[in-house]
Amino acid sequence: MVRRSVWVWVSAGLLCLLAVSFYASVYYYMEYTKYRGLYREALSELKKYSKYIFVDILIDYGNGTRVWYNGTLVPRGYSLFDATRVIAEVQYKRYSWGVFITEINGVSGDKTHAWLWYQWNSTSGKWEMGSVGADSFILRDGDVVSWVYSSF
Amino acid sequence: MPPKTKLSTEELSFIGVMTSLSVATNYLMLSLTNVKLMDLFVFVSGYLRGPLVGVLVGCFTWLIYGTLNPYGFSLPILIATMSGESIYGIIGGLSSHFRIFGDFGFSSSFKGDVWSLNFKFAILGFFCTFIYDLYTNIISGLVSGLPIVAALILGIPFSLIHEVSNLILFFFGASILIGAIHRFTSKKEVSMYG
Repeated sequence: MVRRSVWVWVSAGLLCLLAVSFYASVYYYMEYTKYRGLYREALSELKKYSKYIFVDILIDYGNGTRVWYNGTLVPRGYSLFDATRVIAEVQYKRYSWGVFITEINGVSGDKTHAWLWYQWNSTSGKWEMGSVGADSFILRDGDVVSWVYSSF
Repeated sequence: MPPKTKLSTEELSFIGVMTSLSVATNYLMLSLTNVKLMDLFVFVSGYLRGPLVGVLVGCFTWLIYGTLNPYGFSLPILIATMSGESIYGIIGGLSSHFRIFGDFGFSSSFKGDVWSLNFKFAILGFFCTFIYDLYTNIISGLVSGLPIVAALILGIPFSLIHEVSNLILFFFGASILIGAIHRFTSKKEVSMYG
C-alpha cells in the first residue's frame, strides 16, 4: 500500500515535469516562429534596399559653412551629379565633355570661384580632386564625396 | 441570544492574520512577477482550518489586493482570481480531510519522512497553480476578447514562473509553516502575565 502511494506521488511529479516541459516547448516554439517571421521580414526589407546605395556628401560653401548629408540613399548607378540633385538645388551647364555645376543652393560660381568636387580617399586619409565630370563619376556604396566652393 | 455562526472567534482571527500576511507579502513581492507567498498561505489556511477558512482567506486577500492593485482593477478578473484562489483553500482543506499527509500539522508526534512530505506539498502546490493559471488565463482571454488558445499561449511564460515558483515555495515552505502554526496554536493556555 505504501509502495503504491509512493508511485502515485512519483507519477504526479513526472506529470508536473511533463506540464512544465509542454509549456516550455510551446513557449519556445512560439518564440521561434515569431523570430523566424521577424528575420524573414528583415530579409525582405533588405532586398528592397539592394537596389540602393548609401553615400556621404559634404557641401562646403567656402565661408566656413559645411553641411554633411550623411547616409544619403540613392539608387545604384547614380552619378555624383544625380546624387547632388537629390540633396540640393543645382544649376548646371552641359558641355560636350560633360556637366558643369554652376550653382548649389543659390551659391553660384563666378570668374574667381567655382564648385569643385572631391572624393575622400580612406587609404591616404586625404581629399582627392575629382578627375572626371560629376555626371561621369558613378557612385559606389559608402563613397564619401564633397562639393567645395573654391576660389582660384 | 447572539446568532450562531459557523466560524469560531479563533477561526475568524486566523482568517484575519492569514489575510494580512498574504496581502502584505503580495505588496512586498510586487516586483517579482507571479512569485507570491499568498498561494501558500491560502493553502495552509485551508489545510489547518478547513476549506471554508481557506476559501475566505483567498477571497479576502484578492478583494484587497485586487482592488488596490498598482496594475489596475478589473471586476471580471477580480472575480476570476478570487474564485481561482479558492482552489488552494479547497484543495488544502480536502488534503487534510482525507489525511493525504497523515496527521502532520495536527499532532506533535509526526514521524514521517520530511522530504517526501515536502515533495507531496510541492506536487499539490504545482497542480493547484496549474489549475489556477489555466482558469484565470481562460477568463483573461474571454475578458480581453482574445481567442482562448492565444490567451493560454500568451500566458505561458507567466504560468511557468508561477508554477515553478510555487513548486519551490510549497516544497520549502508548506511543512515549515504548518509546523510553526501548529506549535503556536497548540498551546492550550496563554496567560496574560506569563
